[in-house]
Amino acid sequence: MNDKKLRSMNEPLVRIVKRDTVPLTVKIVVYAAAILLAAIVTGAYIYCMSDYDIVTTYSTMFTGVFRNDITVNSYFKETCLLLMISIALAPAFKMRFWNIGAQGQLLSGGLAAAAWLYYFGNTMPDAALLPIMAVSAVLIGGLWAMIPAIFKVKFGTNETLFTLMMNYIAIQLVACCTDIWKGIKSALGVIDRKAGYVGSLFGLKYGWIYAAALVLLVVMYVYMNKTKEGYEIAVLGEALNTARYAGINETLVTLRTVFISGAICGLVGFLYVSNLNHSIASSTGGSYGFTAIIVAWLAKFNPIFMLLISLLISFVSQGSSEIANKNTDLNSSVADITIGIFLFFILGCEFFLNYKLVWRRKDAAQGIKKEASSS
Amino acid sequence: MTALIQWINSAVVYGTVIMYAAMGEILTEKSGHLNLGVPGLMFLGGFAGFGSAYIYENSTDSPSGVLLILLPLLAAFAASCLGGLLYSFLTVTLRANQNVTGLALTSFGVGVGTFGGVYLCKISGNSSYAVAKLSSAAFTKNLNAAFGLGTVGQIFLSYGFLAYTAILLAVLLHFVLSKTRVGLNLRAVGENPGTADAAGINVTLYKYLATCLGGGICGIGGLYYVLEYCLGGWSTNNSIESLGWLAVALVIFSTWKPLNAIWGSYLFAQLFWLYNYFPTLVNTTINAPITDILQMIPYLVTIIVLIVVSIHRKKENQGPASLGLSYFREER
Amino acid sequence: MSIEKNKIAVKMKNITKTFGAVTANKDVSLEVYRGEILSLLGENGSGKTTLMNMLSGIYYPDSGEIEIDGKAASISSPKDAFELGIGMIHQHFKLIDVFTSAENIILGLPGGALLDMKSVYAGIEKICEKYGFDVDPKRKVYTMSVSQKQELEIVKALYRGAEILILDEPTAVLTPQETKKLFDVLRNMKNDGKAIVIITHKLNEVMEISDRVAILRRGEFVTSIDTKSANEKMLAEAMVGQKLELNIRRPEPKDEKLRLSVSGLSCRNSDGVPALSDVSFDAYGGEILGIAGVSGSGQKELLEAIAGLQQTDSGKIIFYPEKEGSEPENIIGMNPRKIREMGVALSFVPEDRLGMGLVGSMGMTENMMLKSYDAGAPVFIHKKEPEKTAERVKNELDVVTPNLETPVRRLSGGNVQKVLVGREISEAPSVLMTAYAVRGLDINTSYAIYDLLDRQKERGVAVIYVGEDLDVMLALCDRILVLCGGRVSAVVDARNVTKEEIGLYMTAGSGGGASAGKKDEVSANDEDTGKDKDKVSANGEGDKKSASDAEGGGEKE
Repeated sequence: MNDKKLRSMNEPLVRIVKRDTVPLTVKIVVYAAAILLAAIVTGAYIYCMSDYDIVTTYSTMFTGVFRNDITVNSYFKETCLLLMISIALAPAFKMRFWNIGAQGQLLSGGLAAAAWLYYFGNTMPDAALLPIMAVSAVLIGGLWAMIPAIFKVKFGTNETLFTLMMNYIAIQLVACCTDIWKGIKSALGVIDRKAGYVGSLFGLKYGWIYAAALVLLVVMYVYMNKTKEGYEIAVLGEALNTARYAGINETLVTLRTVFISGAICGLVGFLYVSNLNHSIASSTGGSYGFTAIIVAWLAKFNPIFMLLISLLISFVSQGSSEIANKNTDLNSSVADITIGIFLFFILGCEFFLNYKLVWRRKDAAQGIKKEASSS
Repeated sequence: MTALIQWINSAVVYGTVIMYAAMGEILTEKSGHLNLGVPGLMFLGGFAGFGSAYIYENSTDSPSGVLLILLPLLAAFAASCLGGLLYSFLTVTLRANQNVTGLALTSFGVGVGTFGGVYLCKISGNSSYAVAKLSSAAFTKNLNAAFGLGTVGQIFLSYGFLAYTAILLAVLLHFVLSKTRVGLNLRAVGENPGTADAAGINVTLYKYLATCLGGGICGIGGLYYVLEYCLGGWSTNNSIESLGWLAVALVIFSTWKPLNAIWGSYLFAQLFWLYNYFPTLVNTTINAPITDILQMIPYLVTIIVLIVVSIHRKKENQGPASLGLSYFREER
Repeated sequence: MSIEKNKIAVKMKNITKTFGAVTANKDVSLEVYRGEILSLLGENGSGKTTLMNMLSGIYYPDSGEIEIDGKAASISSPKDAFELGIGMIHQHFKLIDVFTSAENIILGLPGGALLDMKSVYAGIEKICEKYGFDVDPKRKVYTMSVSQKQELEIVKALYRGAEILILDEPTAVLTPQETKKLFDVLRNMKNDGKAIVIITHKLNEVMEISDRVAILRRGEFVTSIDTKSANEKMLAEAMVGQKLELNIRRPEPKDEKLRLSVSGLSCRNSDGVPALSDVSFDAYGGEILGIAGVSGSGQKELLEAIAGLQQTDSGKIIFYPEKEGSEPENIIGMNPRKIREMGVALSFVPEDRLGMGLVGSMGMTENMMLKSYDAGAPVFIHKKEPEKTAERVKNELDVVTPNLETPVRRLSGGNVQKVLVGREISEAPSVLMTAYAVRGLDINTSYAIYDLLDRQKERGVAVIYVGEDLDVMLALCDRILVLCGGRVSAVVDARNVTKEEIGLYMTAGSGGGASAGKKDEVSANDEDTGKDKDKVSANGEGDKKSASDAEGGGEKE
């Protein structure tokens, strides 16, 4: 039998091999290529749907974001909101706890804050009311997240769907409360109370949001990288057996981390109620939950990368909205599509960081392991 | 009595939407891939089906009945299939994280559907609503009147054909999964791709096929949503997304068995409409806050099911063992 | 014997297989005849499984030729192997738990679109009747015992038309009764003209079942003899070979103090199978106590029980603290962290190296912290001390790493191991347990580790050394405890014992009593996937699995 022929038949055109190390330059090139490709595809898409060529597209996006104070502030606000929720999710994800219930945690925290605002906004002074609102939002958000976590550690209940369902429970809860509060009006509108509102900071309309995002960014970076608790999260997420071996209390760390995750979402809920909307609705914060999950994952839980990706996503988002405004062929949903394109490309490019392709050599050397075929 | 029949009618229609999506997701998950992009896939299918019907209706004076049905079906199936293909390329070939890819697909699909929908609405002249009347009529045509069976007919015969094909599909899927070689191989791929691979099964092919077909079936759910549940109307805000998540939950509820998904989806739907019909049934009216609480029920039930399933860890009731994990052959 | 029975079924000629720098098989030639049972005998790591995996399509030889039924064959996948009529029953069964026997048997086979289970059942029944198997085709695999699963694997191979059957340590997981039953069906198959290879290191079984024995040592073929003309002693000698003169320094133990006293210890492994029964021994400061035994004799469970990681059924483990005035304490049931803080350290080198005790994505410094991160002022981690430790371990053991922050999964297997062992030693424990500390390491590094252990001994530490290489154990240890099937079969003075004696103690009572799970103790070569071997290679591929685990994501983890 012709051994050689047999072998070359079995040897696939390209094999996939796990990478051990990824030089920084490769990383940068791969990500840059992915973003560039995504930008080109986005440009092509917009070109197909409208009369904008790629240059017009991106210059319009740019002016849409950086035209004036208002647009820039709006850009930073969006970035900060997305960033804060990503930061909230990061520790849970790093521990391999799939918290996709950010929206529910945000809503429950916001609802707690709104309840204080609604019932005590005329009787309590700001100095007392605001801290109470903030603390209850944080607590409720954290506890809301802990419900699935408790079942996860106790029975191994699937947390992905549990946290997701908790979103809808929270949405209905908010709807219920706003229905109670609004009386005969059809929409809740701004909650009209004397106290309980957070104004501007340093003369910036969204100053508190910027400040909160920056503080969270730094605190989370330190927490994940410099503290014992952060270390425990890293070990538990990476190697469960090793964690047991080191005597790390799995239950405690899981509950604590998920609480923190939910608490930060609750804090964002508080910011919505006290600063952004002065109200709450079942749609509050809705658009960020899933995007933030992807941001946290793509950033590999590194807060700095989260900031960069949030800046990119928000840019695409706001830029796309601008194009949609300027161009009657498009509408505001174009942002979902363009963001999707960018996310798919960045998600896909990770493959090239984890694996490398080995092409078939013309003269297959002896003894190559007959591995990966069609995959 | 009228209220009860209406309740059942609403539930069957609503349940059929979930059933299609759940069926698609069961097929997908059987290959070991948890696709959280179901709402996006339904959106894609719903939009493509609706769009093709709408454009066809408005571009010809005498639309053919066959095309009014076939065109939307094919378009819906194909569009969601493509969505599934995108998902499987990312998760099977590029081995991206399944949860993250699925969620991205949901956002993307919802975006595409909404974007295109708004586009069509604009063409229709009405800024927030477009209707594919003829196609919807074709899809909702039922035999109730023909038989004149009164209440029985009202309960069992007053739905468009897709409501019945959903049940057929479930039975077919059950049959394929449990009685055919392809089904056996597919289940093996989802349980233990390494063992399946060693037995000579083309794991990649099975994963791709299951994910794409599953996506297509989800798309039929989206189509049914638009053409029967919404009576052919496409509005700029609709609630496919929450139905999609209920479908994902239903997969667990049905313990990955298509036959369970049949009654499960009707039950979910019945529970969903409880807030609307139950008060009438018992002759009370309830206020808005109570309604909101009643609307929680399907989600609460899902959570309870999740917990119960995790407490009673019966082997038969667990999902495919390798669900959510990428397969890389060199790890064998 | 008929002519058919004497035909050569398998002919392997000059087979060589290397994994990176390690040679698993070197120039091995072997023949298997129809109608015979051949025992492939060898110590752990002698390359038996690797050799057979080249027949079953898991590996492809680097060089050499394979002939099946007289025709040259290229076996590059398990599928190729099926088609040539080769079936291998691995130690880790390749079965799908939620499937029935019949479903597992027909998985991946060609045939009509519809499953005709009736004819499958009939086919299975026929095979069962013919050879005396007892497989219920409708039974789900997860409800089966280990021996039933094994039977199923054999039936599966036969159903697919296997004429050549390879069984990898089939009796390791069986009770004596089950073993007897297995041997009965093997004899039936032999009489039917099948060629059967069983991989084993149990001499009594070799004598009982096989017609011929082929012996491998350190990857090379030693000899093959008819079982009739062999006896256990000569097989043992051929298996372990001449005693190697190793130049390991062995300081005389002095000032021995009782540190650890284990009595009547019994436990079960994770599958609920008894792993240790009534184990008792003492360990003294200032000596190295070796623990010998074939893989899966309960070594892992014993060490983990002492470290507080393994639930025990009965028995006592008394620890005698070094500190003056502290009372001896029973440490059973204590939290692992508490036990460690009392001064009992465990470094267990598992097959995948990273799985237990290290975090692949972290650097040396952070891995040094794993057990001590909680020390010092609260809230923040303190990297100063671990950094120093990491630096010291790096220098003393010559760990090759770009820097202390490089994720350890990027290091080569040997270096990963040095980090693991180095950390345990650096804790300055009073009882130091190491298992497979030199698994897969090169000679120089191995000696560095022996030297470290010696120095610990001189410091008065009670060292417990679980090893695979008897030569090393004879040269390094002061006393050797031999485990066999979860029981202590002997405790001997390492200076006055021969390798053969230990070999006999290791295999003496085999098949009797407790049978331990094999999962984590199979030596590098003998593990059926042989994955370990890749990891030794210098190019640092050693962490594929853990790396993928990290990325796999999902709630499954």
